[in-house]
Amino acid sequence: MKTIPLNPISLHPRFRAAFLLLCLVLGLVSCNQEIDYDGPNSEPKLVVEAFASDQAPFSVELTRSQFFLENNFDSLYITDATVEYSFNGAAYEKAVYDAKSKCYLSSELCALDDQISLRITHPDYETVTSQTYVPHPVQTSSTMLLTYTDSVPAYSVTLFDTDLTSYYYLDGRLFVDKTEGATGQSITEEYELKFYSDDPIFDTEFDSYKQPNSTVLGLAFSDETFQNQERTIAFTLDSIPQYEDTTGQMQVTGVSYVINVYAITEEYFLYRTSMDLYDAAGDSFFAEPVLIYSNIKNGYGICTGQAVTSTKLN
Amino acid sequence: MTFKYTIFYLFTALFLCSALALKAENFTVSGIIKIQESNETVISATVFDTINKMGGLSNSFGFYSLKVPKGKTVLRFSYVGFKTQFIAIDVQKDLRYDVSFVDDTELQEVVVTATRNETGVQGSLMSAISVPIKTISNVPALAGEVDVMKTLQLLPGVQSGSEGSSGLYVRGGGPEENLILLDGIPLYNVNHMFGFFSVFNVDAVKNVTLYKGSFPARFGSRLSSVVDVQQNEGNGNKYHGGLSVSVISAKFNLEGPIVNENTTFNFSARRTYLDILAQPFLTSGSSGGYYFYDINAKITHKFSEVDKVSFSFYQGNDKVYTNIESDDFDQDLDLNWGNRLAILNWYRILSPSLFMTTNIAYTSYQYDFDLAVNVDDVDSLGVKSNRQFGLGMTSEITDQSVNWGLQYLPNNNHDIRFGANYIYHIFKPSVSSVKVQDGNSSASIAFDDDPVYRHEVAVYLEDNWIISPVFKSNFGLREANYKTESTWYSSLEPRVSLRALINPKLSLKASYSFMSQYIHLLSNSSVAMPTDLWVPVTDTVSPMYSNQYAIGAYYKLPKNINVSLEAYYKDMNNITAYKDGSSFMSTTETWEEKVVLGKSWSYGLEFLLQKNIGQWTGWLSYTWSVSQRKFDQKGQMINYGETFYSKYDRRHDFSLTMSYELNKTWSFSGTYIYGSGQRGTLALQNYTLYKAYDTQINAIDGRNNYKMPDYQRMDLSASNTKKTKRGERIWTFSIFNALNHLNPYMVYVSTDEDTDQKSLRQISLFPIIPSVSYTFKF
Repeated sequence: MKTIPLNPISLHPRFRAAFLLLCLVLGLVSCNQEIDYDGPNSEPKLVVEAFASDQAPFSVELTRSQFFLENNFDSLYITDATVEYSFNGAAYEKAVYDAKSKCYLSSELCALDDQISLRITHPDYETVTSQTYVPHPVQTSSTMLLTYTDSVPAYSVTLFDTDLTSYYYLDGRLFVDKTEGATGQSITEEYELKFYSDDPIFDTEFDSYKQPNSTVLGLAFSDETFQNQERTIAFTLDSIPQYEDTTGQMQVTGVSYVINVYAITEEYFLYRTSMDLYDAAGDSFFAEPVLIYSNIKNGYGICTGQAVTSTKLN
Repeated sequence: MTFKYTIFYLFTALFLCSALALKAENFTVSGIIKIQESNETVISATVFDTINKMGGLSNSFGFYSLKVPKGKTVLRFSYVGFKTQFIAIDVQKDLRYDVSFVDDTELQEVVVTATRNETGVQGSLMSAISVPIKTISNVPALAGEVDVMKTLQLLPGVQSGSEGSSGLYVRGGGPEENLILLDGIPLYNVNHMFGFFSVFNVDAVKNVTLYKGSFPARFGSRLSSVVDVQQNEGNGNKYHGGLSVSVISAKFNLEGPIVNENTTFNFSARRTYLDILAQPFLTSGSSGGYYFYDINAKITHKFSEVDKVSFSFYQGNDKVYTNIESDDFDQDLDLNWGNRLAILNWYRILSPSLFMTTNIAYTSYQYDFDLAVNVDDVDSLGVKSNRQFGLGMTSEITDQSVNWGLQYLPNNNHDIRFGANYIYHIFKPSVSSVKVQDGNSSASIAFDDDPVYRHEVAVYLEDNWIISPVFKSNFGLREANYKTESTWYSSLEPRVSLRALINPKLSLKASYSFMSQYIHLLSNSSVAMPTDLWVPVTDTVSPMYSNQYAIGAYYKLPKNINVSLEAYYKDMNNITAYKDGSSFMSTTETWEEKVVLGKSWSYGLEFLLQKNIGQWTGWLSYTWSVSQRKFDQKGQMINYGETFYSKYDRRHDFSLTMSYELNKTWSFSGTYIYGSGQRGTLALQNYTLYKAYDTQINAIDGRNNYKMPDYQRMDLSASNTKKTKRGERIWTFSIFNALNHLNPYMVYVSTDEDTDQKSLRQISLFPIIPSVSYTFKF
């Protein structure tokens, strides 16, 4: 595994400044002016983030896009659309808008292997449609404590290849349950994870994760990674979760950790990987443009099923 | 492959039948055609047997060979701008006859624009244009700096890239698909000043020929075009020279004999002085500048009437440097790029019908980027410390080659060429290094610094064959081979061009060319930079291949006006592009991991009307074209496998170039260019993902989905020439972009920092720019 002590993205502003400086040094008289957009028509579209699982109602968060010259800084949530869903080819049912979660929710839970169709209509936008399914959950081994390095916990999770699951997503957050010292209440905090692996398969497939100790939002990978074997990924935290007890002392015991591994669809895998590329490219002047994958016809976003496998460690 | 092999067998059968039909009773008249005043050889002069009605052309070394029946005849030697010569000879054996042309004083007002070499109504090739240097010198230029490549951009089927760029985009191909030859050897980067000027100093150039289809088999290794630039050999009779000063550069040229006329030299040098002009505008604590220079040299020695050796040399370099300095901070930034080329050529007339060229050559292109930062710190206790950071990036390609070729003229119906070449490529595609020093501790690391070695071998055979008075053809075959670490790539490349002469003024032509390319250029899709990487074909990155089909009609109107209309279709496979989100600066991946392979196709119509002789000369060209790309292989997708327009897609491209010679003192010229806007990628919508990411997305519906505003420019120029006691002085006044039309170089979305209002903004580089240059020739 290569050691890269330098994040190349962080150099881009220097290169950009250098390029602009070079243009100036050339002595060329440059002109910068505002121009009218005279390209093809581009109307706002509905943006969908729809998730289905066997443990929660089918939820659809609905917003809209705006033309790049539109300067609307208000909330772009759409609350008056007709959101309909169908499970396994049955008649479409209407989802109900839940103001608290800002999502349209189905009245029933999905089951594994359910085929889901989504249709959203609104008088101001093109009707959007999409399909997905709920995959089977990932088979994992129990997460185990590896070691403490400088009092920071490190763990590993082993995933098994099965015919029922093709795409995987390892959540980049570790949920830590602990008891708040002063009040005695149970609380859950999120900690960002750092992944690392000596498995060469990850070295070749996931360029973003080559760097040890890189912090990423999560790890998405396909069935091809497994090659019919089990694979182990280790992860660690920035610092050990602590809490202040009733006496004011910092405690490290009495906490439990939850790691989530999701089985996801191919569409969500493509969506996640394109989002990772988008994040990595940032606003680099030299980076090639990134198209965000979408399986929403006439719209943006994603409609996917997922099945979570949560492992709790005390 | 079936089609290719059919062409191969057809060619072989026809060639053998033709060879059997050679007539033994003919004798050969051969020799070298020169210009008397300078003793320089003449390319493409016409030799015509007026009795037997057969003719030929001198080759790029001035050599001609004509089969003439035993007995008396009259040969006519002609070349535009020089007196036509009629030579009566009695041929009883093979005869050597060298010809020296004299300036035609009656035709001194003639300005030659684009003359067609091996093409036009009579020729067998299509899509090939030879542009004399005098034409290039007459075209109005940016800041008075006459440019070879910018003149070629005015021809049909050839497009410029972004504003001011001297890059060539030929029939939908990228700039890396052009084989740009200086005395027969490739130059890898022909751009100065980020593409605003090319490396060719017109003072050193003798002739330029562009092939954009119907490629002769002697050329290979690129898909889209061949630009064959020949350097001057130097005047063999007396010393000549010139000094030219323009707004941005100065040029010097000297040529003449060494000891006697058998040895000649030509030396040219050019340097810009923007760095000197910029100094007063730089603030204290900062310095910087930019310059480029070129050195061209050629020495030719004639050992005997049949042996000649020449040595050509070129070196050019661009340098950008900046320094920012304060009490505790010092930053140096340097960017260098340039070519170096050396060729040792040997020409030998083996027999009156056989001409041989052999050369060994070296060519290299390199760019370096260096950034050094030095920071001095003083902590709260007053202890001083020093930190240094250095970043370097280098890319280099070097070729060492041996080329050998024969031209055989068995009779007047055949002009056969065959030969071979071998190239040893040494690549260092992208070497990055980082150095960090903090106090006494330091660390440095380099990435991808191992050179890559490649072998490329090719053999070719071609015949320019007069089948009958109506039909004439150029058949050719090229076998190209390329070796990587563990793979031999091989391709058999048929080239066919056929002319049907309907009447003396009208001909129809058709052609097919199969081309291969064993080298890729990784280019950023937004701007052309010297940092584009030349990379080799590897076991996983395959060679590029193209098929090009073309048909055309050529008609000669009265008053020396020629009209042509050509249609073409070209497909290209295994073209490379950076993956989504990748850039040349990323060091987390090797270059092979950053690229994907796909295909491209283009088609179009090209119209050319040109007037070559007279007080008014010039040409009008119009191109309608479409160029698209698709990257749809698994794991190699761009644009999610959907077809998209290439960056070079330009629907309409129109140019008008006119020159007018008022008298011996004043001449005027102008160009008008109109083209559809260049394509780029623009996020037309944006949205926020609240649930999973809570991030704003600039939504791109497709690659190159936006067409920039159309391009329009008019340039004007006037020259005043006066003979003086010691030579000739020329004042040239020019106006670049006389309409002051602000053309787009870059379009981007800007956000106002105070109001967050977004707007679309355009950067234009060149408003109206008047300039003046002074040239003195002696």
